[in-house]
Amino acid sequence: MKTTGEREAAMGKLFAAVSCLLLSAAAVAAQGAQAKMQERALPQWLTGIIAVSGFLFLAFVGFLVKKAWCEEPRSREVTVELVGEDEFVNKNIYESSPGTVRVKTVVGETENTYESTLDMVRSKDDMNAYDNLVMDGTEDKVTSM
Amino acid sequence: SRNVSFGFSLSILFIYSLKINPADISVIVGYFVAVIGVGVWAMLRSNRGTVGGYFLAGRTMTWWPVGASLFASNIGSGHFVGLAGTGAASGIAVGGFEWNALFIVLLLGWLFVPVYLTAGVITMPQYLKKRFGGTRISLYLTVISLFLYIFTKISVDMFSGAVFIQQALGWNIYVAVITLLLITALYTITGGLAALMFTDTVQTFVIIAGAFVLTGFSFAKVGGYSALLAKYSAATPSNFSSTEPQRYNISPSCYTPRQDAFNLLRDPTTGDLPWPGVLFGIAIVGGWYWCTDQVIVQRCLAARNLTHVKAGCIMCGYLKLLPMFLMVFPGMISRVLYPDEVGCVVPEVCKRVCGTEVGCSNIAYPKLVVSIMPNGLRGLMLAVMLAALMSSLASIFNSSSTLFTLDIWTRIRPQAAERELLIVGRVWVLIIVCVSICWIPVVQAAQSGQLFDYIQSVSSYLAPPIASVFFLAVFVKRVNEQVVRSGDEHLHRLVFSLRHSKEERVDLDWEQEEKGRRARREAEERRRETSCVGRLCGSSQAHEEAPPPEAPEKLPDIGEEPAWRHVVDANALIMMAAAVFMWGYYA
Repeated sequence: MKTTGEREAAMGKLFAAVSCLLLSAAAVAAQGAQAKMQERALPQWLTGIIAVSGFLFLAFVGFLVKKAWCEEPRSREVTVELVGEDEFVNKNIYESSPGTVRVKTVVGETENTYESTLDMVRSKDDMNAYDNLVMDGTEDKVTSM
Repeated sequence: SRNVSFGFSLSILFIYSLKINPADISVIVGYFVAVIGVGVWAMLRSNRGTVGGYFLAGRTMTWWPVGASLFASNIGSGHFVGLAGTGAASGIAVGGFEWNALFIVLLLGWLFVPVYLTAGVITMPQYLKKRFGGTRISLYLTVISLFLYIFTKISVDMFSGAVFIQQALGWNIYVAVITLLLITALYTITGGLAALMFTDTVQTFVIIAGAFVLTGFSFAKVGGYSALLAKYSAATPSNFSSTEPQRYNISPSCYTPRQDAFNLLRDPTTGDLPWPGVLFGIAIVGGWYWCTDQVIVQRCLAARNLTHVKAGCIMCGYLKLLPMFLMVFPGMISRVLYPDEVGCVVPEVCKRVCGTEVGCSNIAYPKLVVSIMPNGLRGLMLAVMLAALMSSLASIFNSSSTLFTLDIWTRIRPQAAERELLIVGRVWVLIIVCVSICWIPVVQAAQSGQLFDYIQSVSSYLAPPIASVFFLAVFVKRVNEQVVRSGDEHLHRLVFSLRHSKEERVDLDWEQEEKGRRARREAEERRRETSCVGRLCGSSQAHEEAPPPEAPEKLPDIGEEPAWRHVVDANALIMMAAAVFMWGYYA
């Protein structure tokens, strides 16, 4: 879903930004008493590398957490997001082509393919297009609207 | 502007004036020709006849004018003087102001601008009006913003820029300032935001190229980066004993460079810029400046889609890595090379050197320009200062005009049609140019630097509340002006969690909007009988068939192509990694 995808990225960024601030704070605490450069325990470039690795690690953890956390609410949001939305199809040309056939397998895997299949089905034709595809129970919520 | 809070009495600093010669003059003339040429070109290719075209560049900007304009609007002449001066006085921690913005600008592009875009607003008070309903909050914000622009942003740039001109060219300060402001106003008034953003791209090139040249020369003169590290701690002036020992003593800490000069994060109790303040305090003020202020947000709203906004923010972030190396380090080099002038400590000596007894660290950058740069390149540095000054001032003029026109004028005259708003917008720029000129006598009168401390305090008092109001507005749905009126139907596309919602929104400001629409319709019918006068002003055709100057009827689109979204997200991650590395390296 675009929302969750963007939210993922956005929350990831926010999370990463906060985490790197905390990381810098930790770096300072570690170096707290040292004022002169000669007394540094680690060379400067190493401090930088450690900070970057910590940041990337935290970003990765955040990404995993968001991916796990954002699975569930997504199905409920689908109903709201897709009402009356035709433009999605035109935008998601990149995604729409491989997605149609392998509906069952891709549901729940990546959000983009999921939304593209739904959009492809919904957009121009009658709403009953759903009936032809074997999908999860969540689809019932959509058609009933 | 926040960097220029230290002893800013540049007005009689420079007893060394730039001896202008033909090479310098030709560089400066070439610079002005380039800027005006780009301004005219942008003016001709853009449609300035509508509110959206004039104030938001028709929402057609690509990422590189957005990024360059964000950078150039932010970097003013005060940065050159303030960053270098503070770097000379206390080391690199002041660069934390710049490097903090690296993360805040990503918050802008990823979290705040999507909400502003789907809300379909042009100004920030409009967003608050839609989000909270009522008119008080938007009025407060408009008035406070205009106040802050006039008293903090414009004043700072006028201080630093006007004096540079006077000292460099030896002209009468009024003549120089009026000329400069008229040139700025020329392309601001006629071209609108489109002209501004393209000229800002030129200004960014000039700023970075010139500053790189000076940095190169400075490092060459001092002997390299490691030489700077070694020599800075020894940069003490030769005169450090008091001339009147009965009246005062001078302790060594006054003139000895700080031990933690090369640390970004300093001790929370004994440091001059304690690290909690640098990390969290600057972030809050930065949140106000980058995420909620009209000057910066307007540039993002002018982009053609969200991907371009994000790419522009990333570009601005990368550019914000540079001021540490282009301004702070040269300031420290200046102290190493000229410890008796830049690092003077005896009040009588300082008074002789730069006209103020408090200290002369603020002459760090100009001293380098005068002493190190060869002929022709001094003109380039003057062009750099003018570029920084003009880009910042033009952005402030345009954004304050946007605020006044769309938030105050439409309240005074709801029936105003587009053409009237465009005229009002242009007239306001002239008014604010006159206000800026009025700062010159203040510059000449205020010899001490205390004025700048007050200015910085004012903006620091007002920034956090505004930042928190916007933060709550965007992220916390339950916060409302009236307790009764809560509920999702008012908040579609106004909060971050509902930014993709396509449902109908029950506008909290529906009544005012309806009154305005009705007034405009009536005025339009009355006007149909009379002839139209204002064809000169470059607005669209005679028949005012154009829709009223509101947000476009169709829902603004914040969708992104997924391929580009991944590219942009990856780039943001890389930029943050680079920023974290720099923070870690210099911590």
